[in-house]
Amino acid sequence: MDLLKLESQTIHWIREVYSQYPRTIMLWSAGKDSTALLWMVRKAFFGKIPFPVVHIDTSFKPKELIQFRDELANQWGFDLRIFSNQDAILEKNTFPDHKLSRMDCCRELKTRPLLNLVKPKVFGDDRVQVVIVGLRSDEEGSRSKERFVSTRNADSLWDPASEPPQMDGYFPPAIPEGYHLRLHPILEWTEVLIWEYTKQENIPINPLYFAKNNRRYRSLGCLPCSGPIESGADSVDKILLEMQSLSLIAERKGRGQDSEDGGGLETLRRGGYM
Amino acid sequence: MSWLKIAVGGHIDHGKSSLVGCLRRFLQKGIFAEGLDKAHISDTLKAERATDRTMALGRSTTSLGNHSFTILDAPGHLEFLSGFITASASADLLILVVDARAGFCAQSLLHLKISQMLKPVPVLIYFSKMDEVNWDKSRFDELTQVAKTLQDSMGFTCLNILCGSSLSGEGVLSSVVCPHFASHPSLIEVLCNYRGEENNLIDAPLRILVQGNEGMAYGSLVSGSVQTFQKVMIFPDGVIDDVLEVSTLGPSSFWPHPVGIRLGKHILKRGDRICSFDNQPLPVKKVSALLMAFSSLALPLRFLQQTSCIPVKSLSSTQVLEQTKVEISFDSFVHSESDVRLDFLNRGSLFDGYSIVASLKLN
Repeated sequence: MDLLKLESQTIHWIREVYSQYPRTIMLWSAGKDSTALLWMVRKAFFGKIPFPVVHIDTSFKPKELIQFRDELANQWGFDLRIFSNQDAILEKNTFPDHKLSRMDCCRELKTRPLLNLVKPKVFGDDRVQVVIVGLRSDEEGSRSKERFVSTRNADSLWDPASEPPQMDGYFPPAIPEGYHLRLHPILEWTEVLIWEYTKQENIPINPLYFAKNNRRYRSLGCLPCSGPIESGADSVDKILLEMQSLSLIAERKGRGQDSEDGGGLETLRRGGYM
Repeated sequence: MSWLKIAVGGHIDHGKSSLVGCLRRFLQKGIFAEGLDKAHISDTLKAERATDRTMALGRSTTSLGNHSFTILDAPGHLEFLSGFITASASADLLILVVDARAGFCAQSLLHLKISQMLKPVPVLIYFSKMDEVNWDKSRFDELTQVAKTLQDSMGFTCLNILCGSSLSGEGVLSSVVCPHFASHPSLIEVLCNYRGEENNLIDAPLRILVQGNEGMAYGSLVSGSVQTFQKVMIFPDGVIDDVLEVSTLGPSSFWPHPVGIRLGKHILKRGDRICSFDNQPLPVKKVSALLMAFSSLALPLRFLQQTSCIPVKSLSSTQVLEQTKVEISFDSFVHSESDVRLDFLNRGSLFDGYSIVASLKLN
C-alpha cells in the first residue's frame, strides 16, 4: 500500500476541515491510531497542532496509558483538555462497580462527556463545529459504514443510511444549526498500515502495545473491558510480523462492549459514541 | 505497491454485496465466521441484516500481495442513492453488477450515468448469478451487446466484461469451469492486473488550490510542480510573486498532493489559486453545467462565483430527472471549475433525501 497516498489524503482532509471550520477539536485516546493521526496533524500544520486535543478519561484506563498521554502532550506541546463524567465516577455508577451494564457504562463515561463537549460555552462561546476522530473502517462492522465526514444532529445521533452525498476531499459548505460534523481522516487505513506508518515515521507508541510476560494489548480501552492477547511481540517490527497471523482475528475481539446486544458498538455509535 | 478504490454499483438485489462478500472472504481469510451470509459481510448494520438490503455505503480496505483495494459497496435502492454518489465521487474504477437473469435495470443505468458525470472512471461490467442461467453463452452475448450499445452511447471506458457466480466464486476468484468462458480471466485477476489510469499531472501547468494559512500557506497541488524562486500568478487577485519556500510530503503525481508554500510578498489565503506565470489559465465568462436532481419537488438553484451570484432556473422534477444542461454567464472571469459552486437558493426549503449531481465545464 502506498502510505504516501494515504497520508496525503488524511492531511488534505485535516487541512480542509480546519481551514473551513476553525471550531474544530480532536479526540485522542492515546492509542496507536489517534496518535498516528495526531502525528499527521503536526505534519499538516508544520509542526504545531492548532486546535484543542481532547482525551475522555473514564478513570478506568491503564495508568501506563495516562502516563504516556501526559508525557506526549508535554513533549509535543499541544492544548490537551481532559473531560470525564465526574458525577458517574464519584457515585460509582459504572460497570466495574456493578451498577451498570457495559453498554450503559460506555454511554455514561464516554458518550456523555463527548456530547457535553460539543455544546456551546465549552470551547469558546459557540458550539464545536467539527470533532476529528481517529477511527478506521476495518476496526468493526458499524465503523465500516462511516463516511469521512459524518453529520451528527443536535442530539449527536448517527443515522448512516441518511448521510448526505459527499464529494471526495470537500467539506459541506455549511453545518445546520445545532449539528456538528465528525471527521474520520484515517477511515481507509488498516491496522497493519497504521503499524507500518508508525514504524516509518518513528512515532512514539504507548508501551502497553509491547509484550511483557508474553502478553500485550492489541486494542486499548478501559481495563475491565479490554483484554490483552498472548504475544511475544515487544517491538513494532515484531508486531508487524505477528500481524500476518493476527489478521485472521478481529482486532477488537478483546473489547467487551462490541459483543453486547448482538452488535453493541452500532447501538452505542447511533447514540453519539465515537 | 498499488491502491485501487473500487465503487460497486448496480440495481437492487443484483448481487453487489454478495460479490463484495465473496471478494472480502477471500482477501480477509479467516476473519468472518463460516456460516455468515456473504452479503452480510459488508451489510453490517442490524437493519440491513434484518431486511437483507444494503442501506448505507460500506467501506473496506484489504490487500493481496502488493495490491491494496478499498471496496465501496453502495446501496442499490433509489432512496439510498447518496451512498452511490459518495462512492463514485472517490472511486478509481466502477464495477457495475448486472444480474444475468434481469439484465440492465433502472439503477444499473442511473449508476452508470452518475459515475460518468462525477468522475468518468473505467467500468468493469460483471454479470452476476450466471449459474442461475446455467452459464448460458447466448444470454451472456445478449447482455454484452446491450453493454456495448451503452458504451457507444455514453462513451465510457469499459475495462472488461466478465461473468460469474458470487455464491461459488466461479468467475470471481477462479476461472469459470464452463468451456464457453474458459478464456475469461477471473475478476480478482483483472483487479490485480489493473494499473489505473495514467495521469500525467506533473507535466501539466502548475495549479495549487490554497486551503488556508497557519504561518505558512497550505493547500493541494492540483497539477504541475513547484520550486523555490519560481515566478507565479495568484488568482483571483491577479498578482505576480516569487515562491520563497515549498514544503511537500514527497514526490507524488496524484491528488490530493498536500503542499506548504510561502511567497515573497503576497500573503496567501483560503480560496487563492497559484498558477505558473508562464502558463496561466484562460479566463472565461461562460460555464456549462450538467445537472441531475433526485427529488419530487422543485428547488431553485443558483451558481455562486467570487463576485457574482447567478440564479438558475428551478429544476422541476418528478422522480429522477434526465440530465439537464444549463449555460451560466458570469459578469467577471472564471479561471477554473473550482471558482464556481452550486448552491440552493433557499436552504430552508431543503429536505432529507434531496440530492443533486452536477458537473461543470468551462466553455
